[in-house]
Amino acid sequence: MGNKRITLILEPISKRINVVEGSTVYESLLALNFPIGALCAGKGTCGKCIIRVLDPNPKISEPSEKEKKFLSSQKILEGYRLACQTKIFRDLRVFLTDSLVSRGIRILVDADLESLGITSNEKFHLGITSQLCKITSADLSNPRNDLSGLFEGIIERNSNYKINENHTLFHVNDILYNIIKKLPHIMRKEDGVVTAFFRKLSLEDPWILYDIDAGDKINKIFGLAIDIGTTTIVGYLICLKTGEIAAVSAMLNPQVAIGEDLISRITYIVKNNAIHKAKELVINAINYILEDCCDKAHISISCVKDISVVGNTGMHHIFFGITPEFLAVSPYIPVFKAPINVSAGMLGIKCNPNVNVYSPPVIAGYVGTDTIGCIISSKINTYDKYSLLIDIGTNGELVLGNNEGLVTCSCAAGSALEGAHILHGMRASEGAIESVKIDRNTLEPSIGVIGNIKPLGLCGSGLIDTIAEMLKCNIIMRAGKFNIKSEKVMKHRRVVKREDGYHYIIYKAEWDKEQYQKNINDNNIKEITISHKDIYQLQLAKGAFLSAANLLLEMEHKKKESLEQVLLAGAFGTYINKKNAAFIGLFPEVEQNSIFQIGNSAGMGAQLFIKDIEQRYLANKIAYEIKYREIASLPSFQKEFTFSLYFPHYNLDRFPLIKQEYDEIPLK
Amino acid sequence: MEKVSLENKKKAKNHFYYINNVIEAVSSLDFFSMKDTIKQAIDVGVPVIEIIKKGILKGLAESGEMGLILAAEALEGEILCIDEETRRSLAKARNYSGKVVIGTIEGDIHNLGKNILIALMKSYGMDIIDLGIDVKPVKFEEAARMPDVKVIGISYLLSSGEPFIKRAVSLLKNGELANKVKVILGGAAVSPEIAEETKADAYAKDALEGVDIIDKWLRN
Ligand code: B12
Repeated sequence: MGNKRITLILEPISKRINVVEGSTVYESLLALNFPIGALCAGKGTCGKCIIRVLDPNPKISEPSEKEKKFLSSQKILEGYRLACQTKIFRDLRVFLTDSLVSRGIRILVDADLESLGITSNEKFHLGITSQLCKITSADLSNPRNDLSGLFEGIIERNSNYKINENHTLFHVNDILYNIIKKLPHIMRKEDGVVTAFFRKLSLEDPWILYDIDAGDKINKIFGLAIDIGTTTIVGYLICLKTGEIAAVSAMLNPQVAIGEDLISRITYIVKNNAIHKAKELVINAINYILEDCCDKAHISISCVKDISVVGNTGMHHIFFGITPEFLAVSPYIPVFKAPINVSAGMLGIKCNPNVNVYSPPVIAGYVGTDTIGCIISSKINTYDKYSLLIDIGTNGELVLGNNEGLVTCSCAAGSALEGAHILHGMRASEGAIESVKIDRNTLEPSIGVIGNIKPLGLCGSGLIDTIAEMLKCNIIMRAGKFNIKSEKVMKHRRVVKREDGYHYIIYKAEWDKEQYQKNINDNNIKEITISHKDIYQLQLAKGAFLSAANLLLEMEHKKKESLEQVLLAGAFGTYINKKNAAFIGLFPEVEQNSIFQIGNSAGMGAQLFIKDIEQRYLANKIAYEIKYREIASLPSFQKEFTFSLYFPHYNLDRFPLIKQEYDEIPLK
Repeated sequence: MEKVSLENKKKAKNHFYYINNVIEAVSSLDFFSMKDTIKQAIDVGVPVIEIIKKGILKGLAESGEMGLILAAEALEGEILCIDEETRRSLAKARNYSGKVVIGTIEGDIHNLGKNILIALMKSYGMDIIDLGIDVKPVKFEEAARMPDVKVIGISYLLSSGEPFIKRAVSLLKNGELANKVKVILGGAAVSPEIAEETKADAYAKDALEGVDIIDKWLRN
């Protein structure tokens, strides 16, 4: 035992940290200067440091008497624990409850990013600054107008800030208009003490006055980084003084109501002329997130001074109220590519209307600003090593290259990995089977369920596990067919033939009940199976990824061996068992320790845009230098796709590391 | 006389052997042996239609959609380069008259499914005009006006193609063309509702079903 390192994953920020086995969650967080909400400093007497354990079969200490004092047995069943009492003995995922998160989470670079040689970005080029000023009051002998008073106050303190070349002669523009509307009261509220806020949109710009507040608010500057996904929207509130995350808030994208996947959403918008409705849905959601973040961080919404957004091109267009119609038809082009700065007021975001909302440029119709975010935060453009970055989702994006240049393409994987078109599929939420192991001899499964409750269905990571294990057990063969030639398989109680073909029973209430005494939800799911058809759906998805990667390599005239590392981005890329994903051939083969799960790197990119406006330059450079490749038009697509449907690929020579293991698995 | 029939018997036995190999290869989803066995069968003179009907299709019953993808790819190239004469004799044997027009609807670039259907149709000896991908509704209409065109098959994978599909079928089925051509829809985005709403004559959930329907239409 002793100093063995294990991984602790912190949700909702998907942060992975290395900790020493046997230490408490609290100690692990402390060692990282993680501001944790424990008043009693870890003695277990305040009951404040509540966490929720998300692993199905955690290897952690039993609840202590102290914990039982603060948590009902029901809560403990649900996985709630005290961070200071919970010792970890194996990799673990915990959810930090609001009481902890609101204390501010120090932004830490993802553990895997660290091993990639990336440390937190030291440079801080904020696009926001603040200045305290004192406005002397006017009187009858000096009946100076309020705005002149404000300008005098600012210039008196700091002549660096240029209000205007000639500050007596200017027009009141949109920005000043929003300021003068609140100026008279603000300057009289705290005895003429006013904080003035300035911003610039790029490094060489002059500082421009764009907001004021009564009293000393110079340290109250926050930014909101938003990642708009087709299914989820996440907001990160960042304290601009420290660079730390002050709060995180996430919610289901309410646009799901008008179309689950992007194309059907666009189809709905076109059919019903509903771009305004769609935009309103996302803006309302963001307003909710804004409020929620500020509540959690105990700040007023007026402290939010800067906003950045990333998302796929469809989400990007809808957010700005621009029709996504032509993204959904060939040649699938966006309305515009350029970076955009628009005021929050114009978009309907309910903070100070002068706050700037920034979005980096998009790359193509199906490679959006989320991909720019991934590139920026993973720094793939700086590596010597030739790398492949995959953002796994319904619409996957691939980026290939290194510091000598990048290429990108999109790939239509379909939503099998999100549980759609899978008989018992579901999203990765409570009740989803997320990990599966099958005994090589008995062919009996053991499963891990999110929330450790009775299972409700199978999510993408569970699907990948199941299939990898079925292959290893020779239950299915390399083309995805059930191994009908094996008597052992065919006679097994878990392999059944139904109307729609063969199934493997992963869970059956009758047989597997005893595993799930912690049944806190009253579901009456009797059986969860994976069918031949489900396997085919996964083959289509994995075939799409693998063939896209191989075709990109081919277009770059690179041999398979030139690929040195694979970075898996996105929630899905973070949760899958990378070994199993590699085994089924989701991506071209590299050494196990060269596969990195880099978390929500699109969201991390959005945060970087807030913390360092120099990253916005870089985003432009990348977006215009990266080469976009269209794999749809390649004559070799069909063949490569067909071969990539096999596990791991028809041509085993492309997977030398697992070739031997596969030699045991029949092709037919 | 005696001798000839014996030879025929031998041949049939022989064909049976090669066709069995094809079934085996297709049902087990082994791409290369699929390609090999099909080629061998052709080389020893098994009629293409027999390879398809008795071999590939039998194998496919066991191997589902993935089998179709592999089979289409395996049939590509030399195997499907049937010359016009052979095609005609195949068509004649099945009593076909008329041409089939196939294309992927406007806005959509997916062609795998369409190519599979075409591979199957070719092997049946059908006379095909492939309009390719991203085909505008009026192009289907123009094609439908050409002499001999009896069937229009439209592939449709992106749900955003809905307005175009509706437009195309309406152009084909609401005017004087209605009696000339029959329309069949296919592809992942096709639903029974769409087929009904658009008044298409048929829709198929996979290429096997599709080729069967078209086969019937061409024989009338
Ligand atoms: C392969 C694929 C691609 C390939 C297409 C290559 C090619 N040359 O065809 C590539 C990667 C290029 C591609 C691109 C796109 N794709 Co795509 N693609 C797929 C995928 C993975 C498989 C489709 C497929 O070929 N299936 C296998 C074939 C054999 O099946 P099939 O087409 O259904 O055909 C069978 C039957 O339907 C029938 N049939 C087909 N046509 C016809 C016609 C007739 C007349 C008849 C009788 C029968 C028939 O016969 C076939 C055999 O039985 C699906 C996801 C999925 N799981 O289905 C997405 C999918 C179809 N794509 C999708 C999308 C959105 C796109 C993109 C527009 C955007 C993107 N990147 O995601 C892009 C295009 C833009 C771009 N610039 O690339 C979406 C559509 C969503 C929707 N709601 O409509 C899907 C469902 C994935 C998803 N995101 O959910 N795609």
